[in-house]
Amino acid sequence: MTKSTPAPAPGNSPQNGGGATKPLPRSFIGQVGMRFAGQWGARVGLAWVVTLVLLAVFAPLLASSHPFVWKADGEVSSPWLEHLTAVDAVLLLSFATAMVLLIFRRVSVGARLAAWAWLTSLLAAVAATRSAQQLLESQADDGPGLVFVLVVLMLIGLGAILVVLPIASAAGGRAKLTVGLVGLLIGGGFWFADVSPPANVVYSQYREAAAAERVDWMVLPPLAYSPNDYQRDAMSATGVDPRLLPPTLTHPMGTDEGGADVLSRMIHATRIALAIGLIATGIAVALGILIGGLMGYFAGWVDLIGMRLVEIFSAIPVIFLLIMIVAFYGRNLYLMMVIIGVTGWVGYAIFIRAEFLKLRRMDYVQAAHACGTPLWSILFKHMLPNGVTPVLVLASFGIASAILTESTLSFLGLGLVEEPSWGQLLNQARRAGDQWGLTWFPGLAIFLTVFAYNLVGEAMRDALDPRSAD
Amino acid sequence: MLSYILRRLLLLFPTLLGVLAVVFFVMAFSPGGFGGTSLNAEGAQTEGEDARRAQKALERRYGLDLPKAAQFGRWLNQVSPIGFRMSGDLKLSEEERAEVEAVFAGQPYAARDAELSRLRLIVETIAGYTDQEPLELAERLRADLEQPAAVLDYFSEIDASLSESETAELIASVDGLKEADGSEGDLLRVQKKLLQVLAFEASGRSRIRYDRPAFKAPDLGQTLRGRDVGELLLERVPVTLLLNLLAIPLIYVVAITSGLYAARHKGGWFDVGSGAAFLGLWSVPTIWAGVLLITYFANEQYLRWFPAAGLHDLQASGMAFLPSWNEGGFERGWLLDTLWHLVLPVLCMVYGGFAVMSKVMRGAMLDNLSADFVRTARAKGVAEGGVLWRHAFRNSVLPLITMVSGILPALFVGSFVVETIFSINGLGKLGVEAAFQKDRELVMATTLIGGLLGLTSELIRDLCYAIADPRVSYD
Repeated sequence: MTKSTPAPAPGNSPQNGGGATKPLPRSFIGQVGMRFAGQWGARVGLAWVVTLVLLAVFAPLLASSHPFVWKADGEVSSPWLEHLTAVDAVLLLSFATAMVLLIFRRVSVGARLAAWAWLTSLLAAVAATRSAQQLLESQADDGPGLVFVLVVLMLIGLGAILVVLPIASAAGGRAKLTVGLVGLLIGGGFWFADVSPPANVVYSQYREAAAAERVDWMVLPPLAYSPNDYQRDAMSATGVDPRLLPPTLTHPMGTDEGGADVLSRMIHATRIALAIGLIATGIAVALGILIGGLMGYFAGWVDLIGMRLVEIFSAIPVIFLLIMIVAFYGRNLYLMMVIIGVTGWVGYAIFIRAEFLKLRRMDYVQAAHACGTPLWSILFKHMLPNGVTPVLVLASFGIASAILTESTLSFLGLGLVEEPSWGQLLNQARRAGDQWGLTWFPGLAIFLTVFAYNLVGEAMRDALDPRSAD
Repeated sequence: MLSYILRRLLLLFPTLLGVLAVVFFVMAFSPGGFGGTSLNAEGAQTEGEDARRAQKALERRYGLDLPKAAQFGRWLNQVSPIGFRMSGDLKLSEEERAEVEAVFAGQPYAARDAELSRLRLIVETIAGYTDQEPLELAERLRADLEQPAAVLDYFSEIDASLSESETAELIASVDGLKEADGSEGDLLRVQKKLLQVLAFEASGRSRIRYDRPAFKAPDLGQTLRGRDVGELLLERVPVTLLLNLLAIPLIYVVAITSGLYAARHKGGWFDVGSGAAFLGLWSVPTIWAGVLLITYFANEQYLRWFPAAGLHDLQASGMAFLPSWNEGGFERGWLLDTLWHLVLPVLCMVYGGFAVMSKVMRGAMLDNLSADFVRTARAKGVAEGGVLWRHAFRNSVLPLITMVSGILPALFVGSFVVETIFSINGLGKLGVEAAFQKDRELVMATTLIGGLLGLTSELIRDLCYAIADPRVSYD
């Protein structure tokens, strides 16, 4: 999902060279990819997710109060560029690199993916350093907070990728692909989330300047309202209360309780929805594979203790734990992602455990063990590739449920305050009165996104099911 | 089988303990700690003396001066039916009370009844806490009050955590007494001051008495507002149970019928239609469904068919139980009123379940209908009804049984959201409120109930599985 080309692309490319000319790829992954891409559910689901990614990347281009270029008081300048945040820049640049890399057809997919991951990590690292610096300055009095620690951890991760990726790329195709994918996940983590403290922007200055006829000309984005533009000037300028207006031409989805444009908030909220789904599920899958793998490989005592852990975490309702943690530790998007991830590993662990319990009896695993292969190599290089594919199905459903969880929390008033989120908009629908836009659009967005991931999951399940192969 | 149940029951306790520990330590290590103590009832920041006092009272109630693990142990001891007694639970008998009060009777600092009973409470608490004879302690305290300097030792005896300024203030007032001419008025003032501080420091001070574990009534503690948690739960749990008891059978009935029908007429209009509809329904977020239902079916603007909030009408307590006709026309009665209020919340809880369960039912039915044993049955000439119900259906129910365990905790979670949207005072809403108020006892009690519910439903699942499928045996 982090790459905007359709996800089955790597699956379609056969790994045993020369497959491109054959009508049906021989490799298992290739066949599954073909079956997957052939289903309408997968196409519709992926199309929606790709749309969301595009909206997330181009959000500032689509909806912003800042004119791209304007001539005011006889000077030409670009307020839009001046107010571009670090995340906006990383997203746009990284998307541009992806587009450029798509052109180089001759270079293998793995190498292009690795190059892209490296460049994105570099961009993210630069932006994260700047965020950390700003964070340090703004919180100088009460010391670095939890967010700062997380940013530093991410910086370390990014640094590691910047170093390891070129080395691994020299080593060979598989390693290149793996490190590239991990790099994507960590680098992508920064993509959607902005940690730099919000700047104090006066959004109404452009409208006021235009009204005062100080502006010769200006080029505005298609939707000339930023998500946090509460139109404080509307009351004095037009005499209309900008709050809770039903959809009109200027505000296609109306305005919210604070007077901000709902469509603009919806577009910018795609970032949080995508980020929470990917990162929370990424953490859950990693933890699940690790714990489940150890349980399945060692069996016996490790398994018994692991199963108790599994029971403990499946007995605590995630939503309750999250509500509690938000209440006790404060609102924090990062913490929310981590907690959804940390409590969500159970399903994956059970699955991998069952798979590994079967695999450990296999001859090739026994042989690897007898050869003195190190444990991590047995676990991750020999056993994991044979048991991991169905986890993708679970992960797709996991993303859907992570998005649901975030929107539920925001709905209950436990989400972020300033940052736009679908759940938070839906929460206002209860008090919206005539503003039917709030009742329908945020709910529809959550529904469609969850539906899309569920469709993708279903399609993957069908594609992986050997009984469905003709 | 019996040994299996026993083993599972034994394993249930460590798991439950783990659940409680996770939740407890998440709370204990939070930077703000328990209780919104820095805010008073009006939501304003309390300052200085008030805030410190509130914090201290909280510390004593929860034993916050202990290490965190010991706090957890203390809570476990409190809720367990077998455990050590707390010194604060040891109350004096009527005669002992009278005797203790008699010791102080007639003293100038115990002139009023309130002062006398305060002294008695001080003696009661300190005696329990330090394991002394109450009467001896009373005598000693009376003697010590004549030389106020000696009273300062009592504070260390009960591990009171006085701040430095307080200690200095007390010492200064005692020292000031020495320098003054020792007139009656001064002495009385200092005595009263000491007793006031001592009473505050002693109140609620309690520690585990490690004498002999005994059976006792499990105590879930009190909420921050001072209500008994057990009582509150008894009030709230039936509401959530009612919601779930209505929801679960509804889910099963609808899922089984539609699943059966869809499998029976595979590829027909119902099969295709319900398949698509359920796939969509499954993805509709509960919060959106709730908002839509309230907006369009409980709103003056559109249709005001159902109430938007609560479980009863305001007048419900005055209604007859069953609907009736009287001179005022039709009166719906308590039962119908409750059901009327429950329509939207239950609808909100069940639609997701329909989707999943009927899909599972259809899949299992299809698998079985194409299985060899069904073909054999047909070949033997078993009637179609018999094939469907006795052969295929019985085998298709297994996955539905497995899903009970998934559905129980899921409904419990669902009730968090549904109860909050529809303002129903059930367990879920209680849990959300408890977390918001940082109320430790309430959060732990909710976790205990939720955890027990989840774990027992898993156990029941496995047992049902063995009963429904003779091939499954756990021995």
